[in-house]
Amino acid sequence: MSRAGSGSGVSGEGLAGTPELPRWGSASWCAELAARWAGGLVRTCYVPMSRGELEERTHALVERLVEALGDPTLAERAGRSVGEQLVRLNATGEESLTWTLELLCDALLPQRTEETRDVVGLLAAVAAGYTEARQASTLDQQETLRRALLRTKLDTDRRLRVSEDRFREIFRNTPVGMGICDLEGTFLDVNDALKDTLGYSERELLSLRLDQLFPAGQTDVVSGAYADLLRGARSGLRERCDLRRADGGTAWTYVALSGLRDENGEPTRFVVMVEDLRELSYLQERLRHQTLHDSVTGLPNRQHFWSRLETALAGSPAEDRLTLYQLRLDGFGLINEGLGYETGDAIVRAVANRLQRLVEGEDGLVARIGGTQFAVLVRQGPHTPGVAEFAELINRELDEPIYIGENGLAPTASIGVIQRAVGDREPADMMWAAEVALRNAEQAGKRQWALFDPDRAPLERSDSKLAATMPGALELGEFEVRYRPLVSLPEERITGVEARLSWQPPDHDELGHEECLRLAERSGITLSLRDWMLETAWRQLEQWHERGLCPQLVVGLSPNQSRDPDLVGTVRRTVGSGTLAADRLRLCVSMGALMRSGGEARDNLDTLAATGVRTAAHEFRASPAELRFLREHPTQAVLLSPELVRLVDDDAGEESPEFRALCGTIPLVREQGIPVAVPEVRTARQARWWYEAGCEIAAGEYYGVPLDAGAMGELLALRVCGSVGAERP
Amino acid sequence: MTARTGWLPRSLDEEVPTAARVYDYLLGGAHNFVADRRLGERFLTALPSARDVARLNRGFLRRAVLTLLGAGIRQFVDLGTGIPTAGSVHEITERAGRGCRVVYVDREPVAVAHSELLLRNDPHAAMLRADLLDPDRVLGHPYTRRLLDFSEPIGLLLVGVLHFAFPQDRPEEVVRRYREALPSGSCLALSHFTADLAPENMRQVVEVMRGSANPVYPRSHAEVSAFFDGFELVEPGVVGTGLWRPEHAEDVRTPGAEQIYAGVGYKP
Repeated sequence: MSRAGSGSGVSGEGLAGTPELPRWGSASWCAELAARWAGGLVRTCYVPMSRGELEERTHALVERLVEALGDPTLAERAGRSVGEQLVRLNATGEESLTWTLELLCDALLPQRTEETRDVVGLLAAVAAGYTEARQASTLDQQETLRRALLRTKLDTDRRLRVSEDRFREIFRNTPVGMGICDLEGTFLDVNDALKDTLGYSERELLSLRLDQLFPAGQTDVVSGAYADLLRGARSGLRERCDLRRADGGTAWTYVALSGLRDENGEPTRFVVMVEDLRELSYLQERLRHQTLHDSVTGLPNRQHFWSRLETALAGSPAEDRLTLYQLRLDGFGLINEGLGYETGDAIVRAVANRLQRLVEGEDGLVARIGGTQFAVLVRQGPHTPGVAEFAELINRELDEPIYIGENGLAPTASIGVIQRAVGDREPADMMWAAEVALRNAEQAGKRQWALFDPDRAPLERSDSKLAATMPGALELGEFEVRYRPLVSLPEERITGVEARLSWQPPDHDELGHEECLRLAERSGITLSLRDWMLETAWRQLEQWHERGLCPQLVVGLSPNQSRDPDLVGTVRRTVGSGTLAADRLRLCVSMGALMRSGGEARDNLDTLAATGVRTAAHEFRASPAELRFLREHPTQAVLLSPELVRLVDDDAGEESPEFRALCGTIPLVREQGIPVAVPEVRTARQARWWYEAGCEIAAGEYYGVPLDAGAMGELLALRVCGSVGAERP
Repeated sequence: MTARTGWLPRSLDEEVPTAARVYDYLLGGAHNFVADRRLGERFLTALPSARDVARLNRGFLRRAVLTLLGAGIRQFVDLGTGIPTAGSVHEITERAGRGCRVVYVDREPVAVAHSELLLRNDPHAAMLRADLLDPDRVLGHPYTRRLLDFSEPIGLLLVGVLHFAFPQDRPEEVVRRYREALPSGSCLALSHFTADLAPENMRQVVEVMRGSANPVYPRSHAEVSAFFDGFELVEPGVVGTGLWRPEHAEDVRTPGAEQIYAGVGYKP
């Protein structure tokens, strides 16, 4: 480090030209010296204090020196101390030391000679050179170390900055709203996601405290969380919270609050993360929609429709009228089976669209409440079509063919309708009433509509209730098989017993065979009831046989029981398990089922005949088509329809046209070698007429009502058993 | 703004001298490297009074801060701090017995590293690394927001630093944006190289510094005064550093008093 020329003006000035100092050691001498010292120093270096302050410091130094000169034992210490103080004052300029030494030499050696002056000047220069070189050498020695340290620090800083940049990047771009707060909860920094979630600007958020975002009642949740964090908990809050949005609305969020800590583990900041749950809420909404809507048509499903109906009934004025249409597509099974389920779905979708079009402009709602079942709820307004008109509109909409590929299909629908004032009805009532009306419409044929008939309501209601309890009743043993005698004419010998169902529900009159079968169709236990009856009656027959009583067991099957493809298997299992011959059973298959296309009942009849079980066709209604069937298809026996038999009453007599028509048919059957049986004979006159008409077997009140197994056993014991009349081999 | 010619080095290379460390060297500090000291010597050749210039500039800083303290200001932003050695702002305020908050700003990494080490135990002062020509970053920085209260007057210090900004950096625009952010009652203290009074010396300084990381752009009295647009200059206006409220007659006579203009303005 070289001397920097003479620009500073210090070294050139010297002290020769300065006025003489006052008396050596006097107070004014001291003050004058201190002032000169300070004034010179500030020109050699930057001393960061005012001139006055510096003069106070140099004054203290002067006093120290004077004292030392009076007591040589102090000299060493005082000298070193003054040097040290100069450095402390930052008087470390290049010229500071030499200038100080020259000043002090002049001041402290008043009787100086030229020689001493030179010596002192020389020593000052040595000291200055030494100091300067020493500083340079120190700086050089430190340089390597300093560089290494700085590099390390800069490196650390760079890494820290990368890490901070990374954090910034995450902070800025994360979809989770983030904010950093001071320990009072005031926001110091927020990211865009937080602004978006809550709808505030950055400026607004930075003027808010976190707790101000919480609803009024929940601010103590936040202060509790602060307290937890300040006590050292790792996280203060993790909760679903409804935060206040800038627009006054509510943000549905998940909030997590945690603390940032310094290197001593003391919390310095809070970090709040706010996850916007709108997305989640959207998914939940989707899920809810899926559970409340039909996936094929997008219409509300039964459950949803139910609640909408409830809402409509609860939320409307009592005098408002609501109409509920329930419709079911006719014969839809054929479409599904014949054209595939995809076609079926396409038709269902088309029907849904057309129904929705119909209620456009009305206060109405369409729902798919079953596979082929729809509901249309309409609030009757001044221009809403009446029931008949609307039902016709529905059918006309459906008449327009729906094109699926090549096939134009026009499904028809049966419609049940209930219209009521809001005040009159419970939702369950309306749904039930529409369903009853729908069933009535379906019974009338295809493409029919029916209004709910309140007169039939009690009966329908009791039917529905019975049908609903039927499966349980079968389990509980409320059913019983009764037996009625079948006799041969004219000798009236009991040749067989016919199994008849009977059900005694609690709080209800006993129900007979035909009622049981009708209700079983509604309740869905038709087949299990058949199997139970067959099994029970067959076991009973075995018991009678063991006692030497051997009537034939006759079991009549309903159309659905006749068609069921499992019939043969069930009969085989029942009959095959016991000791009795199969021909002790005669199964009567429904004529209606036999005539139907598909031929399941016919196949059943043929297969059963081949196993040795006796068969018959019952519910014969004497139509030409049935006669043709009998001609073309070998049949073992025929039973007349009970309905037809009941037509013939005592008053109208044997001359009535209906009786004569039936009488004309019986010989036609017999000509083919098929014996005819008549059920429901109630009087002796009737018995005679039917015998004369050609019937060989009869049953009915006149020959005996259905009896329980015990009573029938006794009756059989009294009478001689035999087989039913003449049969074809 | 970061892509411009840059008056502070982007590199961390201590082989490239920086104005901050040369200034430290001229003030007798030890926070510098061989390369800085070499440039310092060249600087002294070009401007023999360089040490006085530095000292006087430092003295202006002290008197300006004391003046601002007297005006009731208790918070400062020191832009282009360099290395906060002897006589830095927080030391001045502490000596004056005032608890003040100080934000130091520099973008030169070595200066920042030094500063952080020097300030690490001071809760009332912080060094933030930023380009002072980016007021948004400086004012929006968490340190600034934490330490300063923008509803109270602030002392903005631009001492010996704007002459490193060239016209394309639009320094007047930068000062305007700082001014707008400051509350009423705030003050600007500014000092700046000029060639008005010793053009030959300054020409050589510009020449020496051209090879460094921090070329110098001296400005005229009018240009320096223009930085105070929107401020009311306090007495004695924009003058040489030695002439700005000198404490002692000798300051006025000192050579080097004319190389740097200084002034303090008050935002009404």
